[in-house]
Amino acid sequence: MNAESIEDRVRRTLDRVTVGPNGPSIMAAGLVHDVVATGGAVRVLLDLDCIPDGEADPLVDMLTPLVRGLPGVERAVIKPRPRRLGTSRLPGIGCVLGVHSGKGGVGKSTIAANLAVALARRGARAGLLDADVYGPSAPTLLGIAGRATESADGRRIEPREAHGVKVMSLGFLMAAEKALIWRGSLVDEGLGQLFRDVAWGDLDVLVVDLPPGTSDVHLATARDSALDAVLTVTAPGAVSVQDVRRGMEMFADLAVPCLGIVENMAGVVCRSCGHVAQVFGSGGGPKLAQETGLPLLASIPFEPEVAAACDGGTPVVVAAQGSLVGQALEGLATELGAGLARLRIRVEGHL
Amino acid sequence: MSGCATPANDARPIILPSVRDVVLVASGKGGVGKSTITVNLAAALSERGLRVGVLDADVTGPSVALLLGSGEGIDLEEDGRAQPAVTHGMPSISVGNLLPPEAALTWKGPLIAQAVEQLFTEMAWPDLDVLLVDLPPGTGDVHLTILERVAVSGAVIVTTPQRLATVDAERGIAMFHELDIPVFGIVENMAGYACPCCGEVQALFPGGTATSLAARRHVAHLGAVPVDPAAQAAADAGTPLVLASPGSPAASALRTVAERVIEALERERAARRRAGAARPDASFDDFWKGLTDP
Ligand SMILES: Nc1ncnc2c1ncn2[C@@H]1O[C@H](COP(=O)(O)OP(=O)(O)OP(=O)(O)O)[C@@H](O)[C@H]1O
Ligand SMILES: Nc1ncnc2c1ncn2[C@@H]1O[C@H](COP(=O)(O)OP(=O)(O)OP(=O)(O)O)[C@@H](O)[C@H]1O
Ligand SMILES: [Mg+2]
Ligand SMILES: [Mg+2]
Repeated sequence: MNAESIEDRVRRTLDRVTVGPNGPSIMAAGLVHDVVATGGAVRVLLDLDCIPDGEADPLVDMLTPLVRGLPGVERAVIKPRPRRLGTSRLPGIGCVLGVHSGKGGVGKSTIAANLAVALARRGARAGLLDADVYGPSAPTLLGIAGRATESADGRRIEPREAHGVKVMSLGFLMAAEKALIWRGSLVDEGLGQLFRDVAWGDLDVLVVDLPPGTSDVHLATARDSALDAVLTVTAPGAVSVQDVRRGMEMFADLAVPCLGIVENMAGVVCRSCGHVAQVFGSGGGPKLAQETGLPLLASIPFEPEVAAACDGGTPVVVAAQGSLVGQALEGLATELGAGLARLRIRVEGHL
Repeated sequence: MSGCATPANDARPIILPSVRDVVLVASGKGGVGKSTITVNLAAALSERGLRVGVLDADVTGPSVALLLGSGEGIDLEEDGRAQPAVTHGMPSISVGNLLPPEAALTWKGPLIAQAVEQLFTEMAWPDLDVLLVDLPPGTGDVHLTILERVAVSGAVIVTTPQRLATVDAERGIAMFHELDIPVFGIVENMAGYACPCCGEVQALFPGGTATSLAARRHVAHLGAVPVDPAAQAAADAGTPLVLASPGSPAASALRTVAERVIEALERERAARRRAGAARPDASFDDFWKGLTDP
C-alpha cells in the first residue's frame, strides 16, 4: 500500500467530522482552513470566520485527541489560521523588516544595526528602530549618546543619525541606569508612538530590532507597522533553536513572512591560532532551515573583535569590513535585497 | 511615551507554604547565561545538601526543560495539581515540559501573568530550602507578576563582562533595589575563554565592566565563570555542567558562586529573624512611583 501522507490522513479523518448530526463535514464547511504536517508535528488551522462564537474551544477539545490518536502523529496543535494584525502602512516607508529570535543574546541587535548601516552604505535610505523597550542596545552599538529632540513643529520626535542611518531607540527617551518595567498594556499604547510620532521622513527600509522572546512588543510591532517580513536569528545550539522556533511560530500565526534564517556565533575563532571551536553548539542553523524549509541566509562566526567593536559604538561593517563577520554581514545585506525582491516589496532598486 | 505603570488589579500574594526561600536569577540582557547559571547553581546548591527546586519563569522562551533534561509531559496529582519533573534529584517545571514549540501561543501580558502564577501555585512543590526562578530577559509582565505577588528572598544578577550587557544589568539591579529586594550579587559569565587548540586564554567579550558595576551599585561580585567549550554539549544533553564536568574551571567557579549564595541566604534569614518575620514580606507601595520616565 502506498504510504498515505500524514496530512492526507488527518484531512480524511477530519472529513468524517460533521457540523451537527446531519450537517456537512467540517472540511467541506470550511471550518478547517488548512492542515500542515512537519514531520510528526501536525497543525490544524481553523477558520474562525466560519465558526460561531464560543464553538471554537469545544471543537478544539473534540478534535485534539482525534488527531493525536492517528498513526504517525507525534504532536498535534489545533489553532486559528494565521491572520495579519495590521495593514495600515507607514507613510513614506518602503518596507519594514523585523529582526527577531525567540532566544536572547543571539545577536539580533548587532545584526539589525549592521544591516541598516550596510544598506545605507549601498545607497538605501535606511532607518533603525530599536524596539527593545526592555533593553535598548542601539545607543551603545552605534555610539549615540544623549536624548532625542523634538522636531521643529514640536509635534514629532527627531530620530538621531549615525553612519547614514536614522535611528530611534527608547534609550534616547529615558535615563540610563534607571529601572524600567513595561507592562504589556503600556507597550500597547507606547510602541505605536515610536512608529507614528517619529519624523522618519522617506525611507526605503526600516529595520526593527525586536526584543527576545514573544511579547506584546512583537504584537504591537506587527500591528502598528504592517511588518513586511522578518529575519530570524539563531545561535547554533539546541537550546537556542527550540526557543527560536517558538518565535517563528508567532510570526507565522501573524501571517508575517520570514525571509530566512541567520545563524550567528557559529564557532569561536581563536585570536592566536585561528582555531574555530563550536563553543555555542553547532548545526542549529541548518537544522532549523531544513525543518522550516526556509533559506539559511548566513552563518556568522563569533569574533572577539566584534564584541569589542559593539561596545566601542562603531558597527563591524564600518570598523572591520574585511573581518569574517564583516564579510558575512555584507553578504547578508545582498541576500536580503534578493529576499525582499522575491516578496515583491518595492524597495526603490537600491538593495 | 506616556502613561505610568500601575499595580495589577489582581495583586493577591502567591504563597508557597513548602518553600523556604525564593531566589530569582535575572539579567536585563538576553543570552548572558541566566538559565545556564540557574541550573548549575541549583545543582551546586543541591550538592551542598540543600533541597532545591527550579521554576522556569521564561514562559515564552523556556530553557530549563532542555537544560535539566526533564523532557515533555508531567503527571497530575489527585488534587489536580501537577507534579514537577524530577531530574538530577531536583524538581523543576518549565513551559517546555508542557507545550511543544509549534503550540507556542502568542501570549499577551495578562495571559503571561496567569501562566506564571500557575507555575507557582498549581504545582505540587515538595518541601524546598530554595526555589530558584529563572527569569526571562528584560523587565516585563513576568517580572511584574513575580515582584508584586511572590515574597522573594533575593536576586542573583547575571551579566557578561561587556558594556552592552552591564548597562542592562544595571537597570535590573535598580529595579530590585527600588523594591527593597536584596541583590545577592553579580555573576560575571563568559569571562575569558581558553582556546581548546592552543590554550591561549582570551576575552571573548571586552571586560572590566562587571566588577565596576558591582562596586558602583554596592553589590557583591559572586564570581567569574569562564566560557567552557563543554557547556553547550552539557546543555544539549540536559546535564548541568557542574555535574557533567565537575573538575572544569567553570564548574569550580559555579561552586564558588553557590557558596556565596548560601552565605547571602543565611545573612538574609538572620536579618529576617531579627526583624521578627519568618518570611520575607512584600510591601510595594512606593514601588510604582516614578517607575517610568514621563
Ligand atoms: N558574530 C559575533 N561576534 C562577536 N560578538 C558578537 C557577535 N554577534 C553578537 N556578538 C556579541 O554578542 C552579544 C549579544 O549580541 P546582541 O546584543 O546583538 O544580541 P541580541 O540578540 O540583540 O540580545 P538581546 O536578546 O539581549 O536583545 C553582544 O555582546 C554582541 O557584542
Ligand atoms: N559559561 C559558559 N560557557 C559556555 N557557554 C555558555 C556559558 N554560559 C552560557 N553559555 C551558552 O550561552 C548560551 C546562552 O545561555 P543561556 O541560555 O543560559 O542564557 P539566558 O540568559 O538564559 O538566555 P535568555 O535570555 O534567552 O533566557 C547558551 O547556548 C549556553 O549554552
Ligand atoms: Mg538586542
Ligand atoms: Mg534563559
